[in-house]
Amino acid sequence: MAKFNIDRLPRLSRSMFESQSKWGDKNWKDTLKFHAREINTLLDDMSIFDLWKKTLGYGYGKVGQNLLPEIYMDVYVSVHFACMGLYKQSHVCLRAELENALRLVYFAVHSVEYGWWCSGKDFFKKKDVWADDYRYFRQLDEVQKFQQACKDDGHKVDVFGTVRNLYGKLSQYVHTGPTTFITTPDRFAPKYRKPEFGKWLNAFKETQKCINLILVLGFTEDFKKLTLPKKKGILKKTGDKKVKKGLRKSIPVKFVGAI
Amino acid sequence: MSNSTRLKDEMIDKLWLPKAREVSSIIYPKRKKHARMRMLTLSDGLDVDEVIKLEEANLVTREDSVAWVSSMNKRWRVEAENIGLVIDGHVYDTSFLRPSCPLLVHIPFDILNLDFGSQDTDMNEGRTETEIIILEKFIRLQQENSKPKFLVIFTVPINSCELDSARVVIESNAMRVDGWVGLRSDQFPQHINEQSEKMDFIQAMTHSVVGKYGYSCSNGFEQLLCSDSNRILFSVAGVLVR
Repeated sequence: MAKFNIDRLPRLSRSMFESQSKWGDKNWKDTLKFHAREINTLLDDMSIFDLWKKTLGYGYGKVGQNLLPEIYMDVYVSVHFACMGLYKQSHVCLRAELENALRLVYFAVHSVEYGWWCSGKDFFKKKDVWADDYRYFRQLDEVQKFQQACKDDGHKVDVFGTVRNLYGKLSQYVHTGPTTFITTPDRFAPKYRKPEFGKWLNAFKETQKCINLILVLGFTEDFKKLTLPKKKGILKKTGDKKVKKGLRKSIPVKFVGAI
Repeated sequence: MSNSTRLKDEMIDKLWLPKAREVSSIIYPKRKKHARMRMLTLSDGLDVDEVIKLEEANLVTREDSVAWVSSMNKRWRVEAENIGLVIDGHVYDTSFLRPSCPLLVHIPFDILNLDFGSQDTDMNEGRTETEIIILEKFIRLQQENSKPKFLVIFTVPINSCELDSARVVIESNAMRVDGWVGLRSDQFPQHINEQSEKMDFIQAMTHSVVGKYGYSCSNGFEQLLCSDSNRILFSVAGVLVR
């Protein structure tokens, strides 16, 4: 078996390997020096996807088995990139996570279309499942019931308006808007930067709330079958008080006290 | 080194590794240099020392080994060790019996290391009972896949909860086997609280399950009790032959 020998690497490969190892190591340490607890909380929160995988993974065949690990990997790698100071890439991963969550909800009940999507057939005419301003998702009964329940409580909640705004924000990183550059005039290599990390952290939390809400609304029947502690665990991660209240009313989930 | 790692190291050195050597000489007597046995291990996702130590002893290779971890986060960690296949999920579900589970393609194994001490669960009451039933399901899978000889290592945490022997008997009897008359619930005290009684029950059930599927244990089962201030682990190991 070929053995790795740094001395035998070509000059440019060696230089890239050494510099990448050094700044990667430094940025990880700089990030964890200030944010180890926050990162730990995020990783802990991500275990919610193990629960989703257990709940949906086997029930929806290949769709669940393929998309859920990918969603997890998108979010996991997002943390990884953020710890390396690669904030643009970490946001790109969040958009991929959001896209895959939307695909999961759609393809779970459209297995034929999933087959076409996997084989690269252009059935969707270059559109994605969230095309036409999330038309498919907006028509779901559970989404409408939830929005109505929020409205009855005096709150206007537009789930896919929020998703659209978030998607737009994350897309700026995919399309490299001027505020999303990795480089700065005085710095070429990626570096830990507190404000950038903070921006990513907010986007991360917002994305996870949206995704958990989408999954609860997309898989309400599966959600209903969970035990109460598990339901509470997921509800906690769906958003603020009004969102949780709306879900408790529209699904419905009955228990005494707040979450 | 964490406490759980210390306990595991003790079990590997005192029980698992010697038994792996024993099974290697029984299954592959001609493979003197490297036995290349296939192993399934339940891992805590912190390390896979059992695979690494058995690999150092030329008994298994990590590329041929399969590890089961409880979450995707742990899977990421264990895959970094070049383990052949890492499966994530809750071993306390019976999902591993579903046709789509990748584990089924890899069964049978030469070594079944069912170290339940490594698995996260919020289950406390009824945990040991479930673990005994899962042991039976794994042995059944081995038998269904025509495995005549293999090593089974069964490790369970001993907790303070009462053990309900009747539940194990009922669930075990529900898995029918031709010619097997079944267990009687009056063979064991129904509620077991004492540590020594729990160990006796676990060993008796291990014997019973093995016999049910037509195996006998060459050289008998060996057992080991390891403990520290936080936990007690009880490990039973034996080479099964049909």
